[in-house]
Parts: sequence; C-alpha cells; structure tokens
Amino acid sequence: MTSETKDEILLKLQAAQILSSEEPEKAELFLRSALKGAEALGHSSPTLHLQLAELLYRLRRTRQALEQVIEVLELDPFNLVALSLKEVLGRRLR
Amino acid sequence: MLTGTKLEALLAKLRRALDERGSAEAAEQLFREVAAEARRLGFVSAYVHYVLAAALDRMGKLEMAFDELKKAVGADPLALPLRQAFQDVAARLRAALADPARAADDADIPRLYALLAAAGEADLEAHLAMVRFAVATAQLERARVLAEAVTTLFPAAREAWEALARVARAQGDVARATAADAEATVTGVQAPLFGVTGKATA
Repeated sequence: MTSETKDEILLKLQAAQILSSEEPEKAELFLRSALKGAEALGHSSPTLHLQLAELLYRLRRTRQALEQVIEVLELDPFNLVALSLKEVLGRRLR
Repeated sequence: MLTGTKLEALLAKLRRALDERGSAEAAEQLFREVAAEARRLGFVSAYVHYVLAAALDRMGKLEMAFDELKKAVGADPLALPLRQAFQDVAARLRAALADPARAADDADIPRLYALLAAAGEADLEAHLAMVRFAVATAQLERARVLAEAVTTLFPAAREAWEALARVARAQGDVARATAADAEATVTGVQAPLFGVTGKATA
C-alpha cells in the first residue's frame, strides 16, 4: 500500500476545515484520516492535533479532546492556545 | 512532555510578549528570546515563530515575517493556518516586488527576489522584475540566463519571450532576439492562465 502524498493530506484538512461547523463528525473523520496519513509520512503536526482537539471540545468529548491537547504539548510545549484549551478542558472535567 | 520552571519562565515571557502594548520592538525581542531558548531545549516551535511573524507583520517588517513563517511551516508543514499565512505574506512580497512604481534598478529587488525564489514562491512577474533589474544594472549575462530560464518555466507567457528578446538585443545577439520575438508574436496569452510559481534555473 502506498502512502498518501502531502497534497492529499492537505486536501483532507481543507475538507475538514469547511465541514467543521456544519458537519463536525464528518470533519473529525477527515482530520483523523489526515493524522493517520501524516504519521505514515513521518510527520507529527501539533496544529493538526490542535484542530482535532478544538473540534472534540465543541462536540463535548472532553477526555478525547484532552488527549489531543496533550499530543500538541508533547510536540510544541510553547503553544499557548493548546495550554489555554488544556485549562478549559481540565475545568470541564472537574 | 516538557515541564518545569524553565518552561514556566519561557511561557511567562511568551505571554508578556503577546501582551506587550508599549513597544513592539520589546515584544519582538521577547519572542526571539523564547524561540532561541526553545531551540536550545530541542524544540522548533511553530507557534512561537507564527506569533513572532504576526508581530513582525504588524510592525511592517514583511520580509522578517516571511522568514519566520518559513520556519513555522518547516516545523509544522501540515498546518493549514500557517500555510495560509505564509501564502498571504508571499503574495504581498510578490506584489511589492512587481510594483510598477518601483524603479527597475531599485536596490531592494535582488533581496526580495532571492527571498521569494529561495522559498519557491517567485512567479512570472517576480522573475521579470529581476530580469529588468539585471538589465538596468548592466548585468546582461545574468539577465540572459534568467530570461532563458523564465521562457522555459513559462513558455506560454508572451512577456517572458519579450523580456528575452530585449536582453538578447541588448547583448547584440540579433538571432536570438529575432527568435524570441517570433515566439512572443505567436504566444497570444500575456500571462499564464494559472498562477504558476517556481524557481527559475538555467
């Protein structure tokens, strides 16, 4: 099986961006698929994990969102957006 | 995950930079310190480079912003928001380079062109601005190499052939100038139908 190209992954991300407000579940599928493709290419994208975290937060799937935020901070501990989201998610879990 | 007092201190500095209202230069300095410290800790933070780029853009330091966005996209190549910001700044740099009000021998042209070409973001207009600069500053050999490369990269662009004809004529190469003129005549489209960007090499 051949890996997806970067362009194919970017296409999925664009689709996810367009769908995120109207059809968030579908957007999630695109984002997860893009993450899988990125991993296959050896890319770890903090922004992609953050996008998924924000989507899961809106879907009120707090624990899953937190998992994604932790992934972001593993890759980029200076991402203040992820840090803020982590605090919000932590409060929601409490 | 990186934790500890060092990280906390850097995050505090980063927040100070974002909240800096008084001096944009002070904020820039703080951002740069955080980026450098992060690098020493083994992280190229796309986020820090992105917020630094935004600050530089607000200060009118477009070339520096472009440089920081290049680092951000390099650190996180699949981040659409970073790519979009990069494309936006690249477009503004291209517009600045090809500004009709800019003199053909403007000393900023080679720097702007090099910045765009190195990032693979130079378009037809950018290449032609550099050809015009080389002609205006009596670098005919350089102009010729570039013009030949531009016609290879944009064979359907009449302006590219016209530029080559002008350069060849200035060099006294009548045969090549005539051939380029002929190509320009049969090439009806003034600019490519789609925004093709790329680095012209001979």
